[in-house]
Amino acid sequence: MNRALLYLWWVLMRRRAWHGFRALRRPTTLIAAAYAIGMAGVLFYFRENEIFGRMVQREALVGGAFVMLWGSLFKGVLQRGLVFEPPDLEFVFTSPFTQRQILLYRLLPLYAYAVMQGVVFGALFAPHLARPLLAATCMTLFQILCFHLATAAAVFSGAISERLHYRLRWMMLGAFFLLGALYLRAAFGIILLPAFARSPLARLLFYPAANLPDVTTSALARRWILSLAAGGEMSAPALLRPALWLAGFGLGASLSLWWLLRIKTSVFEPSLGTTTRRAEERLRAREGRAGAQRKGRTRSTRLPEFPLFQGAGALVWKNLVVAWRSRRELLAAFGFVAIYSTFLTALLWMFRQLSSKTGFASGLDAREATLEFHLAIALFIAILAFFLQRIFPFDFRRDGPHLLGFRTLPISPLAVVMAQIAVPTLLVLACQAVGLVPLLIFGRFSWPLVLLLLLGYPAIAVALNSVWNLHYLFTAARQATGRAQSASPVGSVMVVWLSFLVFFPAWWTADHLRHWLTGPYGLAITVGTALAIQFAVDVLLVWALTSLFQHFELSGEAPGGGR
Amino acid sequence: MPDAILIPSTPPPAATPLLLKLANIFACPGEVFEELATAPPRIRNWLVPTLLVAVTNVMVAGALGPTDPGVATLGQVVEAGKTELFTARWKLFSAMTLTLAAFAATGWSALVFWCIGRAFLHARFSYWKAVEIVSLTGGIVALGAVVKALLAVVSNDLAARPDLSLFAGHLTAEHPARAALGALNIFHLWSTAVLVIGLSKVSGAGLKESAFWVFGYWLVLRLALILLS
Repeated sequence: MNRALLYLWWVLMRRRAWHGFRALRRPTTLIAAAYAIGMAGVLFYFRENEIFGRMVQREALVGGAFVMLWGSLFKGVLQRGLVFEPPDLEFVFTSPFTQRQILLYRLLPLYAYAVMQGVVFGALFAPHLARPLLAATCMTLFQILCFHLATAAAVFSGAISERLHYRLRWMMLGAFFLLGALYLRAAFGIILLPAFARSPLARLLFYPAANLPDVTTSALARRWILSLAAGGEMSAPALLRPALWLAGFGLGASLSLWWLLRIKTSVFEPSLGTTTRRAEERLRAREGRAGAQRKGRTRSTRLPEFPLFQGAGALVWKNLVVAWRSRRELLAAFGFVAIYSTFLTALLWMFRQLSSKTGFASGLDAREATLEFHLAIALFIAILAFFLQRIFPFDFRRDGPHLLGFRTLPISPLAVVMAQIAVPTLLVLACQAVGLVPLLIFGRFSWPLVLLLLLGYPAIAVALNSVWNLHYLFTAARQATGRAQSASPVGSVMVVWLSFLVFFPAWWTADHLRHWLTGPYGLAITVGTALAIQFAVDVLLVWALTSLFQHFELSGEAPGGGR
Repeated sequence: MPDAILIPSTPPPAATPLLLKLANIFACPGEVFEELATAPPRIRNWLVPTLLVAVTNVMVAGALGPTDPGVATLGQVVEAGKTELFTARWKLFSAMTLTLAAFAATGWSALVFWCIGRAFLHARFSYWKAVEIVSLTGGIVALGAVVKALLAVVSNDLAARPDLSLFAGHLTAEHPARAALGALNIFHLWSTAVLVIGLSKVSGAGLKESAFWVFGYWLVLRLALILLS
């Protein structure tokens, strides 16, 4: 190994490690790293578990070695030539190094990886190995062997013709599946073939390399022939009716196709318009302006003189008008709510019928069970907010492109934020009310509980809308500065997690308090405390939303100067 | 190369009669497929050979008698006096099943053949061309059925076949080794080799290339299924 190349590898590795460390400043990278470290920690903590012992049994090790070996070969063949860094081509390839030295330079990072893998293997499986150090060393060397094979395969496949490479690839893949299946059958007795592939009927798939009379020995064919011969269920008269049905429907499909193909009206012009319209809708949806435009002219709506719609209230009015014009979304939401509420009402009704028939409602335990059932229904209504929030886009989701315009309004950021989340929150509450009315009728809650329920739903709706609007605002700010076209899947998953996490403090408190507080007002105090905590979380979320909105204002004024 | 085959610069030679094609498939399959590759598809080119395979197999099965123990069992179950009727119907419906199987198997194998040509060899030929080739290869299957019947009569063993399982008489019929040896049937290998020639001619690909895909499916995959069962 050339010392200069060794030094180059060391410097590059150090720099890469430093860049990796610095990348932890990004929340998504940090979360991914924390997740990986956490998972490793969990695995290390449970390393003495029996399942780890099973993983280092002879059969599992042989299978793992087979996968590693074959995987390395296949990866090498797919790669077709070694992959270097672009600067290597310019500097290393043109320098006076031998091919052997360059190969070793290419293998050095892989050796480091193999050592790391050996260490992890030893750390995790040491309690189940007779000689952990020997096993870890062998594992490292085996991994190095695999890297050598992969490199050799890459070099070899780079030199063969495209056609031969194509054939080789398929051969390797087929051989891998065959050997893998044979190993599973021999080591664990697992037969991957479905039953029909083992029947004599499957031999027909290889005609003309098949004995046709073998077909009659298959169970299915035998049953078929016996039924026909004995005049059973599969006899000709019995088959006539299904055959007629099949023929009837087949004829219907054929006739309709014939009729369709005979239509003389031009397909192209209407399709052009529809395709263009759909493409525009998709584009608008991608840019967060879904449903913003409708066919024809929409009449302008005058701002009412009602004081509520003055100042920041004008934004609420604007969003209400947009909601009114988005009848399709509203109808979809109300349809969904109607089905959901009908289902819950039916549950309530059935519960009441059953309890009145069986006398279930009498007794202290029964009353508690009834209360728990009704509270579960109340929880189901609360869950409705998770679905509905995504259906009502009358907030920063739709107004993302207008953030710069909002900045010029003579109202405080807090007022803008409150106005933006007001309409979807109100619509969610209106929908929840549909389900809440039957619950209040059937549930017959005590008045403190009714009050807490009525306060609970707004707390949940505000929290959810705030969390999602944080996401929308963040995405809109990124789009405005041209840093991202749309929200990343990782970001969306994080928001989903956060939308559950914001209820955790209240939930945790309620869960602990319900064990300590008993008596007639125990439940009310528990729910009340949880509600107070939830409102505190809501305030924090609105504050975060306002801060982000303000931050966006500052970065918008000084483009390029933001963090 | 495929274009040169599909759009010939010279007028196609006079069509050989079907009977001659069926005879030539044993002696010079390359010539038969070369002619097929340039000629338009004809129904009789696949219908007659497939019917021939079906009829041969039905006749052989009829001559050897029922090998299925289930027939005798059910024959006892059927009420007295109707056993003969049942046996006659059994033969009839077995023959129907075999005929159906011959057509279904031809259709399926032609589909595989066509897919290999289209997907792996990037050749353009019609599905009916593949049906013709597979059907004409059926001539070898018919001959194999006759040889099998003769072998069964000579060796007095209904399970006797012209394959390597002849040398593994001590193994049971269900033994995987016997089944694997049974896959190496001389007529199966012959018909697969003829399919290789057919694919090579119709797709314009080399013999090696065609052999790789055809043997890969009709031999290796079949052996794999036997070993994994």
